[in-house]
Amino acid sequence: MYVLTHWAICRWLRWRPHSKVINILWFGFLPVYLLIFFALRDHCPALAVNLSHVDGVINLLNGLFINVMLLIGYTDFFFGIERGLSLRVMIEILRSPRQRMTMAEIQKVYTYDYILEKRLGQIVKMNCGVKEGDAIRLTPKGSRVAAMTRFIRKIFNIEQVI
Amino acid sequence: MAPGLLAAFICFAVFLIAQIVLVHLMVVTNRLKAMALTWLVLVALYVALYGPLQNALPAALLPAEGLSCLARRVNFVNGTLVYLLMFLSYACFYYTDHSLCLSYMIEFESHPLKKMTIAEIKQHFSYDALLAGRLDDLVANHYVVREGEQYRLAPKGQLFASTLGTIKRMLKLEPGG
Repeated sequence: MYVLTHWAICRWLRWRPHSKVINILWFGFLPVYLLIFFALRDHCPALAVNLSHVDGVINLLNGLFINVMLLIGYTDFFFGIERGLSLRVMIEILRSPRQRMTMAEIQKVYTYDYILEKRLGQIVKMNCGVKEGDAIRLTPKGSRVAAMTRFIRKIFNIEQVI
Repeated sequence: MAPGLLAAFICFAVFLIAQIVLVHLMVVTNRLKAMALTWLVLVALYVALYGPLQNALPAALLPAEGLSCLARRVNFVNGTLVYLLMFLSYACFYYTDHSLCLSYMIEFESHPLKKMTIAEIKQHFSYDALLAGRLDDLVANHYVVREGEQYRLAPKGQLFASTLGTIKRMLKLEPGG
């Protein structure tokens, strides 16, 4: 239900940015989750749980936790489609008249200015950076995000892929 | 629910520790494969933990009316599902190594004034290197085939690009990227 509603919003409404829509919609669907949970509890004997007991509460929280995990997965999938650089390159090759392209041809239809405009625009929108003339400066929030990312990457030995 | 969930959380914690040890002690060439293998091996730990946890947990954490055979199975599968979803979420987080936004922000952070001009970004992150890196990745993963100076889609890439391209068009996310 959540995915279908989100897809309908993407297709027919101009409600943006996507990240906000994804999160607000998820919160909007929380009452639906609770409604279905209680309906199943009351009307489906095989799925009955006792919420006055610890196990019943764990049951409810378990569903919410799975819901959060699914949200993370969906968000990653959605932005992979929306913003994936490699996917865009493949789509450009697929749509080219000869279905093959050189690197120079790819750069011509998928310019670096466009990539930068999107990424830097996103940094500014998320309040992680501010525009100062031709430059972008990190805000305190941006500094925290960058420092945290660097720290986690150090722990997991993750190297940036350019 | 509790034994399965507890077993899942313990297995995921062990998975994270194993990951940290693995990436610091060994040169891992195919990280996704290594991650998936570690996860799979630890499924055995999940199975091994589930039974003892069920017997060891206090009665307050188990249903008052006892567990039917079906409920036991559902709880077991639920724990496995939670363990799988945590792994997939970790994989999502792990692949932020391709995120340009984060790499730009980390670079800004290392500058004394915490800022860079567009020209400096372009100089530091050259488009040629960026695109060549992504195309090399696509070739290595059999999505794209290189023929001299040209790149064409392999059947896997064609399926991928046409399916996701259709979703993208349907959701009006074009051109994106």
